[in-house]
Amino acid sequence: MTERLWIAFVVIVAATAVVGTGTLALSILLARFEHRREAARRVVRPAILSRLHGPDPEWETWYDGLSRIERHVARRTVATYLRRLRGREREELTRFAEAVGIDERARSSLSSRLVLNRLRGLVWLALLERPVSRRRLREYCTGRAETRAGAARVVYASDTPHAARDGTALLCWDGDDRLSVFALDTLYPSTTTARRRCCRSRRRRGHGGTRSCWCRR
Amino acid sequence: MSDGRILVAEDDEHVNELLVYRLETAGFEVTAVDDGAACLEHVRLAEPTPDAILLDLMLPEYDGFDVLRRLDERDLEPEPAVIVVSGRGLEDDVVRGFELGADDYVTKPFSLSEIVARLRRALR
Repeated sequence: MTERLWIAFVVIVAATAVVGTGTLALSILLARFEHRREAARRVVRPAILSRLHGPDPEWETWYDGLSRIERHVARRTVATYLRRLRGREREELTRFAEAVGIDERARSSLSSRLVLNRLRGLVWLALLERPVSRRRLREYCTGRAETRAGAARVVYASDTPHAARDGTALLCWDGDDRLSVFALDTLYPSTTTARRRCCRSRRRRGHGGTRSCWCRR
Repeated sequence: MSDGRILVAEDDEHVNELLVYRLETAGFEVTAVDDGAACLEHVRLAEPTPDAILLDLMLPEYDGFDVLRRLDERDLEPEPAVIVVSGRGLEDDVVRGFELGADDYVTKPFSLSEIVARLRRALR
């Protein structure tokens, strides 16, 4: 009995030591990575900001000269700024993404076997407002609720002619699913934007006010 | 000699950074704070008071509406121009912002060049 207790004690102590060492090692690793990332941020962010308003940013040359971690930080920073800006600065950031091939990689990642890669691709395509064909989205992005919501956001952001119809079809692909907050947040603006556009275009063509639009029926 | 003293009250680190950088390169003297209380404190202590404030509505401590109300109560002379920069673009928010004394209202996402142009107009 005493021997069994002793063995259990040793096993528990050993397991605790292993988990503790592992946690400590992981924390040190992550702290070092964060430290390097912070150092990279201090270099990369001002460089992006100065290029944003400079005459010729030469994005490709600049990006090629960065280390791996600096490139990672540059992509993250550009994604963050794209969410907050519109107008001239946004267009310049979009040119950065094109120059370093982010949009092409995002498109090709839609066919990746890893869901995370597909989601990353969808995030970039939505940020860059790049249209993707309905066929391609249906082929690669209808398997999971997350990718369907991401695909619907791409459709909305790229403002294609039937964005509301296509986006709603993707979001309601599986009628039994409850929509996530992100999906609802996509559904609402895509349908309201489509309604406004429909009403505006009908008024322009002299077909009367909003009551006669399909979206009001 | 700067084009004007601007106080940026914004709790989003990235927006703060973008605004500060753009305004400084446009020739303004910029101070940034990240909550409503610090914004009011800066306006109270700064000598001279800022010429304009870029004010976010969703600030910790006092929100943007509170800041506008308290600025209005203080009867500052000269009164800083206040441009609200907010993600809240509903009609009610915009109307409330103007009613509480905002001089201009910009919704996020925003254009940095447009903010500079609006600031210059407000300071004219």
